[in-house]
Amino acid sequence: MRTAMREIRLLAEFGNAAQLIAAVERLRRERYHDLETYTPFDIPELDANLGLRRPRLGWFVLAAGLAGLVAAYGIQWWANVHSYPLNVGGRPLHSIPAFIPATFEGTVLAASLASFFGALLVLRFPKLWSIEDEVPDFYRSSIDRFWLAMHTFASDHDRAHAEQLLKESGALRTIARVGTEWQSVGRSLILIMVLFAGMNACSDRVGQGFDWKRMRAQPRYEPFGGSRFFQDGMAMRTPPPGTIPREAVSTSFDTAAVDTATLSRGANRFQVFCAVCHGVAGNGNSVVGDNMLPIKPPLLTSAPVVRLGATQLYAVITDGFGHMPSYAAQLTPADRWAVVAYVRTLQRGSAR
Amino acid sequence: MRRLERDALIVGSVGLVLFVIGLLVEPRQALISYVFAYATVFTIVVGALIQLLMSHVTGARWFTVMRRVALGISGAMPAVAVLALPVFVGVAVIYSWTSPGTLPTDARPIVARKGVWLNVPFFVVRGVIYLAVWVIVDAAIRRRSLGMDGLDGMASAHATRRVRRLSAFGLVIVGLTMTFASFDWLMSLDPTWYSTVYGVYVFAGGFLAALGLIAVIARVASRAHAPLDGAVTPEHFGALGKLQLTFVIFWAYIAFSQFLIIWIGDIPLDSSWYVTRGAGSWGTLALLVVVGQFAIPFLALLPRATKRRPQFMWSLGVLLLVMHMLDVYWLVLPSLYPAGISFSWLDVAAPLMVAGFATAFASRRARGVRPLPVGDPYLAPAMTYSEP
Repeated sequence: MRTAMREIRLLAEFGNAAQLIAAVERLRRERYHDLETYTPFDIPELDANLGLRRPRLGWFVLAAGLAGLVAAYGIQWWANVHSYPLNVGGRPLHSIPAFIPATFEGTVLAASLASFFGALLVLRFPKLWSIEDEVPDFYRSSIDRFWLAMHTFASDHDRAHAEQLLKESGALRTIARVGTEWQSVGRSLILIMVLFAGMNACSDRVGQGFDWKRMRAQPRYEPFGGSRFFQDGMAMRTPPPGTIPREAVSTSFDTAAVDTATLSRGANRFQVFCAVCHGVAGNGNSVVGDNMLPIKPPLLTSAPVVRLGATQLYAVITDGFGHMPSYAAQLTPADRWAVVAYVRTLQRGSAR
Repeated sequence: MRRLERDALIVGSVGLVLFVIGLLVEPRQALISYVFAYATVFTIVVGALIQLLMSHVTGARWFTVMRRVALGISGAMPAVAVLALPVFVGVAVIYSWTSPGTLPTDARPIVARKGVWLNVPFFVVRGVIYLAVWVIVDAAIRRRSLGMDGLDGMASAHATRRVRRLSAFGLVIVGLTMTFASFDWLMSLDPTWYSTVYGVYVFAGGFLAALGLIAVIARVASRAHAPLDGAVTPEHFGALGKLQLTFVIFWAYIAFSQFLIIWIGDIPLDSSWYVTRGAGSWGTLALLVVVGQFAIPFLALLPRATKRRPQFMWSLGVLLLVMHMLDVYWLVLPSLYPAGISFSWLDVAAPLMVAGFATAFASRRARGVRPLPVGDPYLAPAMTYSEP
């Protein structure tokens, strides 16, 4: 019974969205209701299946707005009529039209503050730490894995059953952790308080005498700028003869002769970095692509892209093209060639 | 559609006959009633055009399913241009600045100073420019929008961008001409009075009424087996409701700013306009407009559930249209009857004529037009749009 009192979070990792959706459906059918999912992108099917309720923030905001209205009007009335009556151009002390603008602003201010902080509360923010953070590889829920979390079990048996269901639904692994959601919030608040305390510890006097200016304006050489240090008067040095850029070692690649390992590496990188816009099949069918309307990313399987040479595709990945940014930082030259090879297989697949 | 066209034509013709009789019996009343009717209609039609332009500029997806409704309303533009004729012909009867001799002596020097702007030839030239701008912008948007029906892929994507650029330019010139048109046709009814925000006030009311009319038509057109059945859903009504709520607040904000500045300044020349419109039966009407065009729609549009009910949005749309009419009535008629409301049968006849002919023309022009912009790349996401 001890475990039932304390909250146990059961986490499961899935390799794809379809399995996660199926698992959620199955758990809901078996009357597990307290489910939470973590996915790298928006999955509309989950919204319906998770049975999310609309938060009743509206009423809270309305109440705050009305409170702001009364407060703003009240302050003006009290100041102008009661506390400091002043004759302005013969206007009555209690002149309603003159009070309206500040009343309006007060209402809006209170309502918007209430909606901001109310939303934080509903979302259980600020959450600088949560139990999930201690699960290894959980961060992949924002890259290529799909996580499901559930809590509050009636008994150990109940939890074991849920674990069984998750495994049957294709979970790669399941992990149990002890701790509550509010514990996360509590720890975050403590962290924030410590942070504020730390900030308070720094007084203005500590900073005095420190040469901030020197930190901002440090002596440095600009590219293509001049220098008195070198004899030729230039800041930039000419590399020794025969130097080639690091990436130049692999500017050519035989896409016709690739091995399976390279192709599967290319497929993996493509699905991680390219598929978000170009779609898993390279046909532009993706959430990001839909949001790039009216001009969607080009179909990688369309004739103009098929006609591009492998080096051109490599160049597009390296330098970007149109709306597409450079992926040089994310993909090593070898990976870029692997992606080019994979795109070629996609093109060949769709041509058939 | 054909039935609407025929019925509207009959209503318009009846209005025309009554208006002509009125013109012979009491010309000044007939023409001022006509200004009221015309201002009610032209602000709605231009408001629909502005919403059309705005949806192209902002790339609003949800509105794509209702865009042809707005296009249908703004299709009345050529009729609106022709219907301006009585205002130009009757300018000497309608506007007191045309005969400064009849004005009170203290008003004469003020009106004389405005002579550079307020003289009959310039008034007519300006009017023709405003109407030409509206007709041309409407025609250009219409041609491009209908031309997109057969396109797909990159061709429709590029066409969308071209319409967007055109709309951005159109918004600027339509916005400016709308402001000056309301200065010329409505504000100059009281030639000594002026308010710089007047044009925005008139626009806000007309735009709100246009949104109301869009809701009414969208409701009727999305019933079972109607052309927009299945395309326009509660999600779209919810989005339209939010836009209406925004402009209910905007209208109230502009109306109040104008009032507050004049009230707090308390200069006789400025405040006389409000004194006339705030006293007696005009004051009651003003209160009715504040309640009907602000308080009721504001509270009714706050909850999420109400905005998503098509029938509710239909009722609210009708309310907004009626209130816009009363709002314009309150702007125009006090210049003829400063003492209080004096209702004339011509206040019914003139609107019948203008609204009847405008509706008949718009529905004739909508013949054969697809109810949805099928070539628009935004249509697919618009059909599956769901409110956040």
